Amino acid sequence: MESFLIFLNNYGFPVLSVVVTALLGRLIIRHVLKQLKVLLVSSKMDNSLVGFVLTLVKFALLLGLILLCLELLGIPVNGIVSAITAGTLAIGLALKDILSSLANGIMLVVNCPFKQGDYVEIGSVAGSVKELKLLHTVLITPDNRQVMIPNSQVFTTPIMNYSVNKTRRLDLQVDVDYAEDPERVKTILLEVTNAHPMVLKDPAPICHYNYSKDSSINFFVRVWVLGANYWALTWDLNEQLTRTLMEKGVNIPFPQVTVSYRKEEEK
Amino acid sequence: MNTLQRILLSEGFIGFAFISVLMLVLYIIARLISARAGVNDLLKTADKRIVTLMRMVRRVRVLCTAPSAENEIATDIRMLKKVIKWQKRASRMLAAYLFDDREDRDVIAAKAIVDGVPNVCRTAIVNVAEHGEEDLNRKFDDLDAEVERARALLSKAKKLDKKKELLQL
Repeated sequence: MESFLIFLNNYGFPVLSVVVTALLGRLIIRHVLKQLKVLLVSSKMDNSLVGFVLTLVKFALLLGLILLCLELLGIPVNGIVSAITAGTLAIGLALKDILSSLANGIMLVVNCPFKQGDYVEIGSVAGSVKELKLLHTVLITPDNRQVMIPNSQVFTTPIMNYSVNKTRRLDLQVDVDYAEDPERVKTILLEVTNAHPMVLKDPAPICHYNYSKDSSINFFVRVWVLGANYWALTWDLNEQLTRTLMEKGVNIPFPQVTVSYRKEEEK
Repeated sequence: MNTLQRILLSEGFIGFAFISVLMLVLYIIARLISARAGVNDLLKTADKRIVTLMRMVRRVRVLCTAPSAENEIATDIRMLKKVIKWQKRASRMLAAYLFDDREDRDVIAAKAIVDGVPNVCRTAIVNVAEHGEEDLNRKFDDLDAEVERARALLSKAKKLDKKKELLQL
């Protein structure tokens, strides 16, 4: 009987305390996270960052709960913490890339170079930002593939964000025959661009003679467009410019090579 | 001292009782705060807040359509502030719901309707202030119908959620 009481005192009640703490602790954490989520979502913070912060807080709270449970079981937490500190070097070396991704993820949250839904180009990958997770950033490419890029790579690679500014400049190049009058071509090109409804009036479209090619003279056309209309305008304007030039009798050349044969006796 | 007394007075039991009570109190506090903030059932809370929002809108309507409406502009603006406050509260809940279920078109549509409520009130107040001839009763009737539609969409979303839960079981 005596040994049972000692067992109960030393192991039974601490284990029960741990069970109660773990169960209620989980529920408390769940409630805290729910409130935090509403708080963060109602702030101006981007959704991908909200997810990141929530995951970070969840892990921190769960770690605290685990340490509390260990303390209740009589396992010296200080010892564990010291052991972890001592092993940090080894862990750090082993998990170098993962920890680097985690740290860079935090830096991305602080710097906010993009938000959810932005169309970005990171290194050789371009796509819309779906989510910023603890260790990686998830992009959806235009052909609907999902790409996960480690945050360490995202942070150290130049990020091209196409969604930050509302407008974008569209550059087109048009080649015409050497026989054409450059001023007339410029007038036609400007007429077409100015008449297009997607082309912004301010800044006004410009068209200039660019350089001479082997078989043609080259003009560049620069127009400003809303980011959302960029591709629609690219395709439409290219088509309209070509069609109008052809309708107005402007010759669009193709590369030609003149080969002359000299007869044996001429040599 | 019998065995039970010895158990109850043991150090282990007192520690266990203390921890249990402490965790229980913390849990109750967390639950109470959650219930007060309405984060346990986001759609239900949003619906409640929309009802309060509409109560405020009705007050704006009464003020704007009264014969002495032009003299009540200051009160109108005070009411408009309340409308905005409750619209933000309802919208916050819907935004939090959409954070987990981004594809829910019903809730997205409901949120768009709720977000548009202060604009209607603002336009009505401006109309009164500028002695406009607009038929405000018809405008507010339309708004009522729209908000009712938003509430119906929310209840539809709730039912779908329950179905999803059942399917997961």
